[in-house]
Amino acid sequence: MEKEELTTIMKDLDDMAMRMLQLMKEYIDVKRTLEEFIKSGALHLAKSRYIMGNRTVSALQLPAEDSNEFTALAKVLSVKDSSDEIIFDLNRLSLSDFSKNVKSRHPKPDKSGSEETNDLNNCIQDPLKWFGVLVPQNMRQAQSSFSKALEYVIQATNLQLEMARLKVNYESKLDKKKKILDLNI
Amino acid sequence: MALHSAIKGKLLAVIGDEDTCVGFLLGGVGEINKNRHTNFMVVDKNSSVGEIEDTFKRFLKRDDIDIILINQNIAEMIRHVIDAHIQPIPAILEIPSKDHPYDANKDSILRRAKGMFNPEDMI
Repeated sequence: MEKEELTTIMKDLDDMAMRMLQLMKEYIDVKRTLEEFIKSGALHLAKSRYIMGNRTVSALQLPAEDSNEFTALAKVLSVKDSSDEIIFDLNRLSLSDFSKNVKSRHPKPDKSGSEETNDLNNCIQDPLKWFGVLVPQNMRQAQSSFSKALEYVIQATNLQLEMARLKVNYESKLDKKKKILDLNI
Repeated sequence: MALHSAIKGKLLAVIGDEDTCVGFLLGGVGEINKNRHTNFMVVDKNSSVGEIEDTFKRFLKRDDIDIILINQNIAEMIRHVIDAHIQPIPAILEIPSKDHPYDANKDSILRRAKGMFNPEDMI
């Protein structure tokens, strides 16, 4: 009876170890892709710097603590997957959809929602505007590279979470195995 | 309050060099909340390890942050704090920067995973 249980546990441990190796490989691959996107984004930023001037693309253009309140355009949603485990998903607000909404609300005579719209207008802004009204194409390419990088960030985080869960399961199985072996000795 | 519920979900925080912060903020992850707290920190040569550590701990405590992105070279400076964080959420993701390519041997997550493969347990 115990021998059978031990064999099952050993098999489970082997499967888990294999899965962990697969996850580690996937994780490294995702990180490498992420690196490519970050590098290409940085290159586009450098080109924008060359076009616009050294000081026009720096941390000084980023909003500081004394800037107006604004909200993130990309957030993470925690959702449950098929096996009831928490995974992250990217929730991105499309600025074009938002501006369309604003335009369609404008001609309405009803002013009830106008205050909220104005507040939303102040809170939601295209980050490109921090660097000027007429930004070079490279700046937009940098934005798109980093937006793609965000998708890989989420993918890497999900792999990370799965690895952490697998490690906990592996350790509990390992304890079981040790207990059975100790009993037999 | 309604403003922040315009987009559902939690935030990504960034601790990184200038290009990493500018880039990810261009990607739309930046936010300043009603208490005027930012979710990013630009680390330059004048930033002290203590400052980075404090910001990191502040991000860990905030319940509206789910993922903390940190450059791997900066993570190396505060490795002891990162290794001490074992909860899955907020998840800490070490990202490469343009000056420092990704090194899998330094990644906390992979080092933890490698710890699973202890030769004595394999017998």
